[in-house]
Amino acid sequence: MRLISRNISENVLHPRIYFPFFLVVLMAVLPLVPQNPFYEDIIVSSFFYGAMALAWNLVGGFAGQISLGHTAFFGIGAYTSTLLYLHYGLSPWLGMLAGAGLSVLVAIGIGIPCFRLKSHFFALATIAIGEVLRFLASYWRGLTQGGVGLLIPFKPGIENFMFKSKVPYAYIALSLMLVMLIICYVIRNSRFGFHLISLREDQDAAESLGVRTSRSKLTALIISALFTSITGTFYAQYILFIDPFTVFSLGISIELALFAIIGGLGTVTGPILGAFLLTPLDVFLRAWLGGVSAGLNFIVYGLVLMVAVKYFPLGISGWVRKWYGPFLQKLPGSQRALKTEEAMAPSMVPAKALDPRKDREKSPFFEVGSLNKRFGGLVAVRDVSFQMQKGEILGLIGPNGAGKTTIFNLVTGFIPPDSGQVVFQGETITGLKPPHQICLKHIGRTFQLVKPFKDMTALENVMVGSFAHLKKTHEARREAMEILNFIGLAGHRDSLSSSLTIANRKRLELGRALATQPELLLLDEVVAGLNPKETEEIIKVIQAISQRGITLFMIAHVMKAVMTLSHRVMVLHHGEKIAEGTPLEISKDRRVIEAYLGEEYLA
Amino acid sequence: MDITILQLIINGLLLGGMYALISIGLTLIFGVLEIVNFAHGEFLMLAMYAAYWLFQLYGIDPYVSMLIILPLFFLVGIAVQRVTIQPILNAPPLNQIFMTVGLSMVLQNAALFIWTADYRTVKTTYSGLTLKTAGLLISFPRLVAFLLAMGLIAALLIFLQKTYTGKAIRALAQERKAALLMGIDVYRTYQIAFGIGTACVGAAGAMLIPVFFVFPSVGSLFVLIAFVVVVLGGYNSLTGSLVGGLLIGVVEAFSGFFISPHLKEAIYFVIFILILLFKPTGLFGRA
Amino acid sequence: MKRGVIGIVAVLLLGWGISSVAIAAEPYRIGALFPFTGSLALLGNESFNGAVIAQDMVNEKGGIQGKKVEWVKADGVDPKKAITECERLIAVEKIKLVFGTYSSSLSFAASEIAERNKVIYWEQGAIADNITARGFKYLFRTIARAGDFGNLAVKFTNEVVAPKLKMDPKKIKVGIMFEDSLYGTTVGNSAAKKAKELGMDVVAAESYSHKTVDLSSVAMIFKSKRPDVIIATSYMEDSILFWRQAKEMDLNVKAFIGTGAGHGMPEWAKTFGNEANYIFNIDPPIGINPRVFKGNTLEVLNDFRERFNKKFTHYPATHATAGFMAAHLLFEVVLPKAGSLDPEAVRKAALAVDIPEGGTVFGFGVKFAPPDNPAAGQNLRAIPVLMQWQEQKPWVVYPGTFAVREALMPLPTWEERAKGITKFIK
Repeated sequence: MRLISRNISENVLHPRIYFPFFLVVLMAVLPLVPQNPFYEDIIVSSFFYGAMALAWNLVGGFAGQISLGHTAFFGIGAYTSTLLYLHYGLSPWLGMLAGAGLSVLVAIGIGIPCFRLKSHFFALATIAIGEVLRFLASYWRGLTQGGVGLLIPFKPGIENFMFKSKVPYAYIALSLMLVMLIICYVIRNSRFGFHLISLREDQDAAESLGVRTSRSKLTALIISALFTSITGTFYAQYILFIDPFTVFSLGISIELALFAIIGGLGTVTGPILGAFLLTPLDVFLRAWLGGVSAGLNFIVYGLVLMVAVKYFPLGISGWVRKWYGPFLQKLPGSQRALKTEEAMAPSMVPAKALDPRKDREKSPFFEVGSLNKRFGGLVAVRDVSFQMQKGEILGLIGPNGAGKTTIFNLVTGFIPPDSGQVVFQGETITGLKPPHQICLKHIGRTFQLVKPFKDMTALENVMVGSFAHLKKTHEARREAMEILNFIGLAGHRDSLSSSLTIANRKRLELGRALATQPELLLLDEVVAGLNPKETEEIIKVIQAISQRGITLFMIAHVMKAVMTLSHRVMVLHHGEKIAEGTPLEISKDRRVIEAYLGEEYLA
Repeated sequence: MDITILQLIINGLLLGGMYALISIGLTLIFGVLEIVNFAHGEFLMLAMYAAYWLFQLYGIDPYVSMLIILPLFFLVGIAVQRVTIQPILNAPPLNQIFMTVGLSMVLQNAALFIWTADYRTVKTTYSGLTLKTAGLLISFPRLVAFLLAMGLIAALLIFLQKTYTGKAIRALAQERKAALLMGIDVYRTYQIAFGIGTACVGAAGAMLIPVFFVFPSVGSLFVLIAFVVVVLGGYNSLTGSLVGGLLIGVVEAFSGFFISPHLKEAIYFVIFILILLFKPTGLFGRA
Repeated sequence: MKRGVIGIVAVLLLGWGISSVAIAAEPYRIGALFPFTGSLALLGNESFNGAVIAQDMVNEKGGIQGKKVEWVKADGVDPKKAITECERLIAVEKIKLVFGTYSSSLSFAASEIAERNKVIYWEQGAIADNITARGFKYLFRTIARAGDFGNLAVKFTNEVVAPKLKMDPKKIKVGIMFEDSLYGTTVGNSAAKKAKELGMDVVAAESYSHKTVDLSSVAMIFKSKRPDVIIATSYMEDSILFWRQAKEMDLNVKAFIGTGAGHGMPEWAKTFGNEANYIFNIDPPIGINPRVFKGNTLEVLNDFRERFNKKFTHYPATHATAGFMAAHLLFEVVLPKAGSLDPEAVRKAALAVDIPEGGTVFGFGVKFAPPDNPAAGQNLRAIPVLMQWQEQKPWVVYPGTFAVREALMPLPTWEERAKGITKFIK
């Protein structure tokens, strides 16, 4: 999914560029082919469901928020434009915008409270919202005529958004679909898209990299609601009859998700593939099996769904991806070189080489005072205070369960402290949340159990970090490349992070956090689980990071790493600080020896 | 006015008892496996058909056929879990939802194909029986359903507290990894939990057939209610689902009378949304 | 030799004559748009089956002017599918006449398509008023409208129930309940409107979701408002549910008038046995007084009933009869007059139909409203009748000419029913 050179005209003779254009032209010609309303309707429906599924996929696929209530927006769009037209003669084109506006308001109303919910609960909440709207539409007969429904008198004319032939409808639906497709494509390759996918893969990791997860989800929902509402108006103008049961239907919400899943969740073209396959299939299955006996076609439909969910989790698009590349290779022009961003040599930005000890300032760079945290009856952190100077490396050690990661979570906005202060560069940041705020203050962190964004390549993972301070994709890519070089993962640039070894994943996590340009970096057990050689290598990387002038606060178990790297070490036991000093001092400290002595201590 | 209020409370409790009964199985499944089982309603439908046919063909009273249905549906639950649920336990939630949606479609339409869309009900001697006390009217079959719900929950609670399997289930519900480390056979326990949950739904179906009717899509009427009850009660609390069910029943009875029969379902959906927003762990659930 | 040649020519001429007759016997292809599957399938199929008998009857006679009638089936499960199926019939199957559709929302949506394409839409069973309120030229509905159902319920209350119970029609309290889809809403609204027009006291007009699992709220509302008469519009499941809960709640009224669907079906008696008795129900006229019929209509009706029973193993009820009546009218009267399936010819023929009361198996006549009439396409002579369940069977009790029995009132209370007591006013 690399964005090909912005100069499309330079690359137009390469199949990667011209083939998709060719497909678009094919689709544009399609409505003119059948000369028969029955088949034209299948085409209209395919385009229209394609557009709807794309809109849903923005929220459900990209952002990973399973909405089963999109029918709410569909119905609002349908009813708003229809009522405005019937009562005030307002052109449905304008009514469509009004409906979209209303849907956006509803989306904000739903999104803000509901995005806090975990996936299953979010899905259930959205179902309930769709149902409530249906009841309201059915009950409020004064407004909607209730179950009687609304019929739009047939007065063809472009100002009325009504046409005698189905062909204009097909073109409108196609345009809608293409607009949505372009939007999805642009988003996918933009900062916003990276944010969405990262928060889908791991919300905590995303937050730590400066992603405003709530705002991103809401933005996705707003865009999605807007387009779904427009398709609702389209439906009303196409069928010319709406009632609460057809436009506020749980079935519609489920269908949209279905198209996206079967097509390929979270991909750009997946929903279209799903819609194009299933819409005609439904018509033909019904014609073929529905007549034979009631319900047989739905049984087939249900089985297809179950099989797809179990065996084809990537959907059709996963399968298509496999042969698309080789297929393109066979087309003329594939030998040409693609002018991509990679072809432009990245300019080397020199690393900031600073001597940490020289730049130490007098006032504390990072200060924690009397930090406390209790979980129920368990005191996790008791009255912990310490300071850090700019440029130093502070190691944090202690037995399992001492509270080390808890301290990290307390100062990075993941858990609120019960009491205490956290001051960074003179600014009080105690209890600041959500975590993305911490990142924006230039504090970064890694996690004890690495959280790579599995569906992204190594390069893309780091790009998410770069996006914390860069807006443009090609800039982020350039910087990410550099960082990959710096941490030694350049060779794995295009590998999916899920395919990397543990050691490389840890490096990746380092690189990712580094990309956010932190001044203080908290590393949680970066060395754990590595073999001696890997440990050596990562120690070198950490040293290189320190030489860039970044202050490091490190939790570690492995004594070799602690001793080699840290300027100072702090020891935690049962949530309390029991010792602090240089590594040598600590190793001789009686209390520390009593509490524990690390696993592999090498003098 | 007084007696109307009392009657509304009674109506609500009896209706709620039915809701609770349907939801117990779902609480167990949802709480332990964290699966949103959209086919839950279809199990109810199948149980109702089973009770119906046992009555039609062999004259077995539904309250009695429950003894057959409980073990039968336990086995059905295990089978379904193995074939459809087990493989997707670690899949993304969306895939889990859609596996059960697909299952629901298959079951509903298979029922349509085999038994047609006809509505069927069972007419027993006590079908329309109403008890009258102090000017209040209590429907007998609904009372039985109510008492059964309580009994079933009590039995389940004892099972979960006292037996090894029960404790295993509770452990699993709380912390999957730890349970694994403790040597609990996770997969077998999941199967048993799903089996028990399905058996509960089976009992609910047998209880329901004298009061209501069965047709292929009856499940979809009840599945959403069941979810509302489960979430309201606290998705890992059995007592919660009882209280949640009763509460929903009473709310429905009162809002149907004072606001409108048309909006009563919408009202409890709104409550559902509010609970999800402000107390997602429900009334009795633990975080 | 000459004889041989003449013989061969004769044979050839004969052959050519026979084959041209065979070519001329192309069938009349008529679209059948019904919900054959889905939640409405039960009655959708029933309605169609009635029409099938009419087809059998006409085909046995060699068809309409030698052309046999052939159905082209289309399954309209919901409004959108009804529309696409209608389009398929018109565009792919080249149908010029669509016969359907039982369900009002399906009919509403699909007939629009037919009208646009100038194809005849012959509606046999959907009752929503607005189907024939659009000034359509190619749409014809043979059966009465929802408004007529609602009006009749109120009229009966006003003219029969009130006097019999010795109550002032203006003081009689009416409670209305209706399910929330197109059917329930149209009938319920028309009943409420008419009742208010006549100055009756409408104490409650409650709508409810037809998917509800509990109707005790409605019963409780009626208990507190104490109507004398309840007018109910329900499908089968909610009609049964309500009656059960009415018993549980000990809800007693002096008269209960159903308006078709649930309250007219055999399941009503099957489920409730004797407790089904004495409920009124409004439906198209079946089981009417045979004196109403003119000419050979009674024979036709009996023939239909026997054939239906033979073919489908049960006697036809309302919906099947509606299907038959509409199809029979089409095959025996309209199409012969039109001479072909050309929509213009069929239109003219339909508008020219003038059958007096007694001329159809429903006992009412046929006269379609012309295009300038606000109810264009509606059979203005179609009426519903009011029946009462007695001895677990429905008997027509109103209007007088169609009645076969007397209406018995008031409705026994549940306590009285339990004891088998009735206290009917003579």
